[in-house]
Amino acid sequence: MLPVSDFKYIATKSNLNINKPLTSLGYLPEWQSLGKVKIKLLLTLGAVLFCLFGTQLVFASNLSTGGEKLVSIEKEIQDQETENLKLKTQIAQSSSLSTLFNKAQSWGFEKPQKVISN
Amino acid sequence: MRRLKLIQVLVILTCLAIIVRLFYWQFLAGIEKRTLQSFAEDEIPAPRGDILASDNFPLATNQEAYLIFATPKNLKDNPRDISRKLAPILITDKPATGSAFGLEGFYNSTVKGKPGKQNSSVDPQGVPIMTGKFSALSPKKGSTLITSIDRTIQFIAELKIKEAVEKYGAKDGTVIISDPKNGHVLAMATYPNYNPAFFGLYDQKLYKNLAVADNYEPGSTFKLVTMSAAMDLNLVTPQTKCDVCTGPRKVGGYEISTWNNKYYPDSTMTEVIEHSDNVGMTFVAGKLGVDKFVNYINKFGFGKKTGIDLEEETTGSIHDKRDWREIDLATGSFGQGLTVTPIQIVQAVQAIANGGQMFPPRLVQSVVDGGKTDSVKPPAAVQIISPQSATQMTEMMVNAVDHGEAQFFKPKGYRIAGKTGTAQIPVAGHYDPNKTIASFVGFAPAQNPKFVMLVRFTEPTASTFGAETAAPTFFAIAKELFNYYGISPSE
Repeated sequence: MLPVSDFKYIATKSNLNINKPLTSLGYLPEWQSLGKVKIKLLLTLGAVLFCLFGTQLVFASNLSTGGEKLVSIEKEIQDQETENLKLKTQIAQSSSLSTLFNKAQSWGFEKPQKVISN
Repeated sequence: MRRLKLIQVLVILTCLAIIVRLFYWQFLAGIEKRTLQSFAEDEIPAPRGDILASDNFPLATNQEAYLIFATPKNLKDNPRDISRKLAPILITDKPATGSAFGLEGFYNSTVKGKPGKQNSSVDPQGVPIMTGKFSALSPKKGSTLITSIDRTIQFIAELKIKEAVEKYGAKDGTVIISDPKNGHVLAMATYPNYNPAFFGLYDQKLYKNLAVADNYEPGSTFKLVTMSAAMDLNLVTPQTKCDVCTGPRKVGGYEISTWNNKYYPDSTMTEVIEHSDNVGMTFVAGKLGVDKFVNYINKFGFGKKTGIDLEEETTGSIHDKRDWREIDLATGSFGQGLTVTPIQIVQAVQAIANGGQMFPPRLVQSVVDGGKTDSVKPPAAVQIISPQSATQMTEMMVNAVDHGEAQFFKPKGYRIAGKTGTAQIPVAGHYDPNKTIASFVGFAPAQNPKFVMLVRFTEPTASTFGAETAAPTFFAIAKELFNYYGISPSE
């Protein structure tokens, strides 16, 4: 697209009456040139604002759904910790001396009577 | 063309108008959020710290709990039937043991941790909206306690005391085992007891830890304190002869006699302990006098808490010296007319076992907080009696085990220092001859003690004497400990 100054240059160079409509020669009148620039500026501004708005929407949407992700991750952590606790308790119960003692007795083991020393 | 441009301008203007309006509603309007979302401030509970044995085995840890709730209008069954089914699980009038008793009670502020907080806007499903005011503070888990409890010794103690209570028909039995070199408690067991995980199923009377919370008249085990005091003040020696031990002795209008009505004229102090001679002890008490005797009682830690890290410790009862009469001095010398707790007896005998130096008993040896382990520094040891007096007392106690009434139960080849105790229980202003507290306290090996132990039974029915109930139990546990520590016979 030609800058605004080119329109003035062409008009001066060809000794044309710049106030005369030049549609037949392929040139646009001034007021129409200026209107086109304004439209393009507005369009550009609108596009930028639209992009900003869209970006804000995307971020806000991600943050909103982020809450759900956070809850889901926290639940997973809690489930893992609960499972870990359960397993720790099971290990402690299975390896407790009273459990081992009872198992040994049921399997027929007997306590040694003599003292074993170094 | 003109119309096209007009449409373009209109579209742009419309878009701009929407943007401006959205901006206004989002940031400028400041409308109170009501039904669409709400602000939630939640406290996140902190997990309690664990309690571990000396080998880091868990003794008490957290477990999953469930929240049960219902919406009344959604219940299909009869509400009475539902409440009857749920009542055993939900309803209890028993207080929780968690933070009220024992080790957890003493260290509650350490193990409870710090709750976290979460402030956020939430949608109708309760999901936090992170574009609103969202802030989160993580909860801090409580510190973990590492105790001095040796799992093997604890297991042996629990097994043996249960067997013994059933064998001797006692109301209850208590055993405490500790390391005299630092005061750390290696095992502490009482029977009958309760399972803390299901405390609601047991009688509340069982919640009391008899080892630290039960006051009783110690009987002849207290003779060790009387004799130690007199020897430390050089008022008697192991060879000093008792010149009043010819028969029963009248003191302050009362008659003091021996437990078996046997008398040994001119017996030495060693023999007084060997025979557990009450008349001989009045001789020693007479040498001490009230002032010196009560001073040493206080020095040995009686009449006040030992400071053990358990919540419900009591002090026992020792009269103020101004209230002591002649008869109180006599009976106090053999452990009647005053009350102590089992842990106090262990603390006192620890001093004899440790060359006269007394360490207060302790259960927790270190605290773990966020991966960092800090040792719990115990109070410094206090020299109660001289090392020489402690050595002399040790030999007298070894002699008592070798030649006293408990000699028949003693394991062969080991030097064990000990003393029996048979104390009558006061009932309605007099002593019941058929109800006793039978006990045995001692340490082994005598020359380099690895453990101090007290075994105590309340009202054993098979026999009322400590020599026939508590002493055999002590020796049975000691045999297990010799095996566990790999201690060879020395004789």
